[in-house]
Amino acid sequence: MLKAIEKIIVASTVLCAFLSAGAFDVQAEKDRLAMQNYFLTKFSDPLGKSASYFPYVDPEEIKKDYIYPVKLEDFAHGTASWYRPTKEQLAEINEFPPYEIALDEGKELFYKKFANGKSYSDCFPNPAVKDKYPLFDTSKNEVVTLGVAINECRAKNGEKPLKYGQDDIAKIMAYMAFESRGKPIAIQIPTKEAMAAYDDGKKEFYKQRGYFALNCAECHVAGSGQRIRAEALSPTIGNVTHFPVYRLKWGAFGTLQRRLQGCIEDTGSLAPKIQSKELRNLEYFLTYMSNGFKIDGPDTRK
Amino acid sequence: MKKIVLIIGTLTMLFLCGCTTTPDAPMEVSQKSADKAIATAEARYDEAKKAGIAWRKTHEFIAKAKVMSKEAKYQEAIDLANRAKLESDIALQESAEYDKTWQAVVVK
Repeated sequence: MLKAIEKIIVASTVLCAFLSAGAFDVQAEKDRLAMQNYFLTKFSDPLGKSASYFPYVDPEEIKKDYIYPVKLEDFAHGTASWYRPTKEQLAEINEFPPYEIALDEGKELFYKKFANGKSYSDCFPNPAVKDKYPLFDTSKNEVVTLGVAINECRAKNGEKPLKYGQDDIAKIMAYMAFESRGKPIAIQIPTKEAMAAYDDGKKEFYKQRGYFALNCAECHVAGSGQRIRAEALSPTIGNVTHFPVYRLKWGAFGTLQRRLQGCIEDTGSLAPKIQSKELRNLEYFLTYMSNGFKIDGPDTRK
Repeated sequence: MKKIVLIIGTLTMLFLCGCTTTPDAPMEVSQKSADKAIATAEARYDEAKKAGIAWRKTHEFIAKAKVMSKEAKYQEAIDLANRAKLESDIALQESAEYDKTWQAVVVK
């Protein structure tokens, strides 16, 4: 009898611990599912739903250029998931991917020895970790992106930090993304502090800013599926899977935060610095929205 | 009669002169006033930057205002500084509004 009571107490303790551990991401999960549901509904029948979701698009363009219905996993391809011209252009460009040389350089850099004889592979024994970043470091109580982790590795080995956003750090991240291809994004919200960081990122995403008083959602939720002049707007979900991207405009790899900076500046607002708390939290929120999507980076973008 | 005409004429002249000079005394345009306008714009811009909502070109107006002030073009400097201040004022005002309303646009 006593043993039975003991078992019940142990079982309830384990259950409570399990439930409380998972409790921090309840709202985040609701947000993620709502976002996925929005895009699935929107792109299930763009022609039939054009009045609600595509009020400024010519129905003839929908018939000719839109791909639908879009499957959930296909949103990982960004704009190419719904816009035929982009899909065709990307397919042609990627017949000979312009990023291949830079990707090889990323691999070389990853295994190149530091002055102390160690390398990044000592910090990341398995380079395929892109699916776990950004992560919330519970000892520091802040979001750590892959870029920050790479520079922390350098600091630990007596090396100077790399410049964020582009050049070597983007190449190394591209190699790590390549090694992570196919792994589903698995961002976790382990504590209430992590949830606060997620909420900050969510506010960054939805808060209007700049001369045009735009928020991210206006272009990448409501605006996704439409165009700004010739540019088709990408969906929020799945968008982080292909970063770092080799952007033809840059002629090089660039990180997600570099792209976010550009996007924020387009609203007429002064963008936060790369790896600022604002951009790390925004990346945390955005990546959480894409939980479950498979990493397919690096990729090419215009 | 002459005296009356003289008094009325004098009063009319004084009145007309008064009309041309009394409305809104022109703002003093000097290096001091330009520097003051620039300092006010900079302080407001710092506030907006700290709140993370500064506009992209505001610092350019402040920089141009400083150049104008150095070239003794004080009126231009004041105009640019005032424009910069106005941008930060709008950014801060709108940001306070958006802080209250952003939740309404979250996808649910």
